[in-house]
Amino acid sequence: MCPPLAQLKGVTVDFGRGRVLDDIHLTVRPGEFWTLIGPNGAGKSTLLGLFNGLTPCRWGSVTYNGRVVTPKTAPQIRLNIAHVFQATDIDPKMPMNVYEAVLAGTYSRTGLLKKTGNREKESAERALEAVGLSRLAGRPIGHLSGGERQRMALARALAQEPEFLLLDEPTASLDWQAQREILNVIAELRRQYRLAVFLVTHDLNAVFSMAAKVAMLKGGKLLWTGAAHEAVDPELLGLLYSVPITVAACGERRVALF
Amino acid sequence: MSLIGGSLCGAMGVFVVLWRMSLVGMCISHAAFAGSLMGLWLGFPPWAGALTASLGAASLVGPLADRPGFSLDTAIGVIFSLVMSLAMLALGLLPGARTEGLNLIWGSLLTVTALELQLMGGIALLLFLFIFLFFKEIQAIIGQRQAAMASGIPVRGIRYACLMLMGLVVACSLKAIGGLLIFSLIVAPAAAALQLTYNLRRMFILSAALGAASSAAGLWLSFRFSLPTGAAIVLVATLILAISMIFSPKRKTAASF
Repeated sequence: MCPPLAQLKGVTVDFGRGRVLDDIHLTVRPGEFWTLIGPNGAGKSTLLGLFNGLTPCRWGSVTYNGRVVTPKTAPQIRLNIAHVFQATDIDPKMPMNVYEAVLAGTYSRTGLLKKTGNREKESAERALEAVGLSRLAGRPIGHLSGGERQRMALARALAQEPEFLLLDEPTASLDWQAQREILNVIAELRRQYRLAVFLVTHDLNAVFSMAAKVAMLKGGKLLWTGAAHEAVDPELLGLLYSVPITVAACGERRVALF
Repeated sequence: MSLIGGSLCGAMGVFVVLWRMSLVGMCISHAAFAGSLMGLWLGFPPWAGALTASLGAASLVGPLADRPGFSLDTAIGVIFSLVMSLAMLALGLLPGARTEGLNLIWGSLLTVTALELQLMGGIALLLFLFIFLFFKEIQAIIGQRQAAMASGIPVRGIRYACLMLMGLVVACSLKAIGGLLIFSLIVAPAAAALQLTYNLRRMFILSAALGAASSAAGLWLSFRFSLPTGAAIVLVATLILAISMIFSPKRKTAASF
């Protein structure tokens, strides 16, 4: 087994007086595909932020490639981790086009006071190509549809040339076709770039068809971790979401219904 | 003088408009105003008072805004009324003729000293250097602040530097334009430039140019028709904003969304 890429050991996070995450243990190895599922407010986004130090960790430890993630080491570690956030609204007048926004993904690696070179530009063009947005490179970012916006965010993350990709509900508020497209792009990219992926989602069926490993989070505690095919369990899912869930067989696939 | 001041405020405004810091900017500019009046009352140079107060406000507001779960709106509302009441207090306690104090409200270019002019030139140099050197980071932060932070760009450092620069800009342009009006000279040219271009570099240049043009035109009008300088400048800036909104090429596209 290869050495862990990222590791959470007994991590506990408090915001003010409330406990958001409680004693989390998790190990991600290079190239693994993890998904994190759980009800709203379970602490999923907070957990995602632990890997790159956006969530400050009070107790326990977070390590990345053997280095402990602290405010001091975080800027360096962040260069290798790309984080795609939940979609936000963009002012339609925003003075920036898609290519510029994607190129911005390379800036942290370029460093302060240094000029963007051909290598970075090629990286941005490749990333646009990979998500199928080359055609829209010159379009102002405020004029994109929800799905295109999400693909742009993905391209920005790729342009960073990370080894670990954090995705926070990349398919939320998209129509079915756009959801499919995004998920296919993610699966394809993972193969192409040999990325480790940590995906937060509410789309259970995407989880079962794509991911290898599943973590379930409820009320700040890890309820269950294991292989995806074992996670398709009505009792377990019902416990996670506190609603009865049925698992139906649909040809080769098993799908969750409620 | 008015050209430098106008372009300074114009360029600064791009940050204010794109980072949605209008309230923060308002707070800083009024703190500067209060500080200069306090200075006048306590007998040290108004620009020094303005500088201290605006830098103080800038360094207070930045960390406050970064606190999780803290309502910035409320904090700024409180600070804003606090500094205004301090300004009024100082104005009320000012002995003798209040011309100089009133000048700080309305602005008067004619009383600006050589030292203040040099100060302004220095700050202009600093601001344009900052924009030039950190352009790509500024662009990344404007594009998506969280993503920029997560990829390892020193977002906090850049933003604090920007707030400090805003404090400096406000403090040094205060005397020329006036405490009540300076803020609209920061926002109006940038808002007008936003209507006209989809390119950030052009937006900075355009905004600085429009700021300088409003100052120059306002100044000319105030001489020609003996109007209060600051008011004339701000009216011109607002007029430019209105015109650019009417003729904005973005109007059609925005309407179709």
